[in-house]
Amino acid sequence: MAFRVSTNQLFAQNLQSIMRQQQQSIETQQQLSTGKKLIRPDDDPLAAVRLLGIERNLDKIQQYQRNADAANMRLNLEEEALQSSINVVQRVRDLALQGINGANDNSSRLLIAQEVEQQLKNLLQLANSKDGNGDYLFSGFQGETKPFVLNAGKIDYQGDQGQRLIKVSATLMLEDSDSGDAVFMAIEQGNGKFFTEAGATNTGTGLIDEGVIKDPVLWGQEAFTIQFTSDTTYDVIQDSTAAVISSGTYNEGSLISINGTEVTLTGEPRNADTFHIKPSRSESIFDTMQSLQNTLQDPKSNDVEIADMINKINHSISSFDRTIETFNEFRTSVGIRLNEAERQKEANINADYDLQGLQSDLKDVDYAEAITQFNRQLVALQAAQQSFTKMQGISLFNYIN
Amino acid sequence: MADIINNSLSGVLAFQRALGTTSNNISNSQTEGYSRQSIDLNSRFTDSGGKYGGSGVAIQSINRNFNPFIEEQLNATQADFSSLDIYYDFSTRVTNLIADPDLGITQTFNDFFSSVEELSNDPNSIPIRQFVIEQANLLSDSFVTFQGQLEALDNEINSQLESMVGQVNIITDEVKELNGLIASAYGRDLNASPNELLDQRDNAIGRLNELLRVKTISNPDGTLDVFVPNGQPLVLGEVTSELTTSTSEFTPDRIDLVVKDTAGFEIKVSNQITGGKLGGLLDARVGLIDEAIKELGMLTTGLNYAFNEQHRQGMTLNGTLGQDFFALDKPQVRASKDNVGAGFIDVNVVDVSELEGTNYIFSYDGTNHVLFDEVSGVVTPMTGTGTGGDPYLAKGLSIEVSAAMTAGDRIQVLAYGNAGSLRVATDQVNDLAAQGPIKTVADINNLGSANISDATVVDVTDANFLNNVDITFTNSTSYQVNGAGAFAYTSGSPITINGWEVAIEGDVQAGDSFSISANSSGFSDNRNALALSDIDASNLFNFGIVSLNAKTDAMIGDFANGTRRAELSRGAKLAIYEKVTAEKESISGVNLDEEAANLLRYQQAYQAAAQGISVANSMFQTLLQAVR
Repeated sequence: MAFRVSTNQLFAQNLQSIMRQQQQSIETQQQLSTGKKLIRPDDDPLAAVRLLGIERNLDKIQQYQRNADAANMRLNLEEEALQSSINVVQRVRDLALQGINGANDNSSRLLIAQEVEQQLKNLLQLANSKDGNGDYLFSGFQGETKPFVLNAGKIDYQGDQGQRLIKVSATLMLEDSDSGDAVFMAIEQGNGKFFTEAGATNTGTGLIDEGVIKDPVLWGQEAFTIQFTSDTTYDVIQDSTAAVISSGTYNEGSLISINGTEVTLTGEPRNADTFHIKPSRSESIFDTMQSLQNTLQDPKSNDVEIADMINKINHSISSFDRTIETFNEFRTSVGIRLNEAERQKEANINADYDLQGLQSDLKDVDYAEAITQFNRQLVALQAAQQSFTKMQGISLFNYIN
Repeated sequence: MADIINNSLSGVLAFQRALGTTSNNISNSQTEGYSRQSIDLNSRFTDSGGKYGGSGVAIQSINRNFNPFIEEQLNATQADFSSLDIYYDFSTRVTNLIADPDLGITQTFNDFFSSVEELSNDPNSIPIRQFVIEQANLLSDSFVTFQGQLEALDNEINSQLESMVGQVNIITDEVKELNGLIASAYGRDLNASPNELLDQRDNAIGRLNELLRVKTISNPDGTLDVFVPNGQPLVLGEVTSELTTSTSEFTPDRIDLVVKDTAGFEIKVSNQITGGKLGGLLDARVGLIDEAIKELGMLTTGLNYAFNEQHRQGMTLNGTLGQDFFALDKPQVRASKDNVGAGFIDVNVVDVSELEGTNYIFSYDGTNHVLFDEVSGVVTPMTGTGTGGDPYLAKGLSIEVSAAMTAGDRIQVLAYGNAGSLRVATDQVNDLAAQGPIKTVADINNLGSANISDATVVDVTDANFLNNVDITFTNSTSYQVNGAGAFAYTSGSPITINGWEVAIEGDVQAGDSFSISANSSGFSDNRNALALSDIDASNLFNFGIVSLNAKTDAMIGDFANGTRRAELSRGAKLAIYEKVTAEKESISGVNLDEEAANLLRYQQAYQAAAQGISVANSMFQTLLQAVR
């Protein structure tokens, strides 16, 4: 027997199928008009959760890019400041060399000293540079504290040794500054291991060079004094024990080896003159420049004073060499960090591009597919509507009269 | 001849009745719950001395075409569908609330943590500090909104429950009335077919199943008893038990469903009602609203504790340590409305990683306090004695009995803060702690090459935490602290003083010194801002394996999946419902073409039967003519 269908059921089923077709075509229409495949999270829960993760990562990447830009800005400023500082110190080193020249008289040395003073001011200005946010570049964590100020005739460091880290990717942090303490204050004197100086009461014109280290282990960071026992003989005394560890005869320009170090004496030392070898200490570039200025501007009246001046200027010149080395080390380090930031920015851009692709795959509509689907649904809807009206037109009652 | 007339007359009368049935079917073709009726005819016979002869037609019965098994299947499907339909509706609303791409939880957290990350770029910028505080306020506003919306949905469930309970009672009254009418119909005539009454009652049971799943039992007197699934009767013959509401045990603004029996006792049936809109609403309340409130509570509790802890370890622009950045109410504690005593407890979160984000019942049996899971009933062991000095500890909570409880009393404990109570406690830009608390400095004149590490915080509450400390070496193996003592130096091993820890690494010489002091003017230091910006990815929950971000994703995934599941089962039930409806309609529905055919059929039969009378009449006339 045939399955009975009630008249109501006929209506209801036709109506339901029309409504279903309508709903489906409206959903497709909504996708087409918004361009989004996912309208609600429950349409595809897995994709929705993945999208949230992707969007979070995209947000983070944007933040990392801003961080990298900020770090770049500060590092570029630091690099410029370091480059200018190198130029200043280079110029002062040239001035020191000029000052040594025996042709100078007191007044010409005074002129050189005045330029040293001017350059000192320039360097101070560079060391007190600020970044784009108005924070000092070289004051460590104390960005609002002027790092270098003149205090009782001496330039003091007011900042700290802090170094700020900036996040430029999920795993990479970069220092966006160097403390002024490390850059300008902690510069090793002399040749970096030890420095030499002549006794303050020397009566001869002996000159000592900056020396070299031959055997650091043998040297053992000890301080030594070369004590002249006559105009031509000397003892070498170890300061910590006051013991004479060797003696020699002075020949101008010959090497004196002391426990792994080598220095050269020239000129005419006199009996009782002393020359010292001491382990290097940190000295600020400002102090070095100030003492150079003082050395140059003090008037000299005899060869002994000139010799003292030359010894002091030689000491300054080796400090300037150390300073330029130090500045260059920091410049290199800044350059590496800038490269790293740049490289990371590119990596971030790539990641951003990939994530946006994934995001688009998950939520953007494939128009070709959606339009095809929409047309198919419209045809089906039309068919349902037409068959509905056709079926409703037919009834046995039409034929009863 | 009389038999011809009689036979024809019975036919005329029967077909009249048949036409009446057909016209009744046509008239009721649009009546809800109407079952197509059909007429059963039987041939009559007479026994004239052993000779059987037909004596016309009799109407055996007028039946409704109805299959009780299909009806029952339809009712069950209807109950399932209505329940899933309303559950799906609420599930969609909760999911859209928390997962909104612009205003959902994920975006809210992202915006806030981005602002903190921005702060680490420029920690002393006042506009950025202002921005962080604004974002924090937006974050707390969002959670207040989430919580508020969930509570609004809860209220909506309450009021829908109220109004549906009224509908249930109206329908059970209807069933009771119909029971009475049907019983008296059968009482008059055991073979009576009160078809319309039966249709109406079946329709009422159908409408009842739309509201809640009911079981029915037919009685010999024709009445029908109606029960909720656990056996609590709603209708017994001609007596109804009223379904009504009462405040739930721990939550005054929530209602439970109860049945008032004839003696006036109230029996709670909330947890026994399944299916139907009521079942769907009750499921939504427990499975959606409660779950979402718990999850949001856990997220805000985790954020609050972890962010505050880190913020207290930072330095503000004022040179003081940070205070709590957020504030959140303590876990909610609710005494049962049935409690005899006024005992109460004070609950605090002590370890977020141990929290289970569930509701517990804390009860007292006269000797011991017991803590157990509200849903599973599993008892959680506690340590401690419950006093202020030695509170009970369990599942990351501390519980202090602040007012002694009476035996048998119960208190509900929500093991998380209320997300709606989240607010920003640090609202001054200067009070935002972006800097590290301590700075370490190696003296510039040190002869050795040793470095000092950054200080790490061991105990920020140490009274001397921010005091200056100088570590000075008396020789290469020994150092003094603030000019006193003699401590052996091991390169790289940690030195812990005043609640912080540093390490000095490398060669030292006599006279070398290192100073550790409060980082009071390190305004451009971003160490604490960096640490704060990582809170969203740090594993706060589940004993250190789940982060705030992961928990947010899991929550949204769970709700999206739940909604998807509800949608799919709802669709499946709808398909079954349509199929069973078609089966029912196939039996009980009116087909107008069929009725038109019947009209013609019965009309022709009627005409033929009437023709019989006419034939008998002319036969009679013929006879009369013959004898005239």
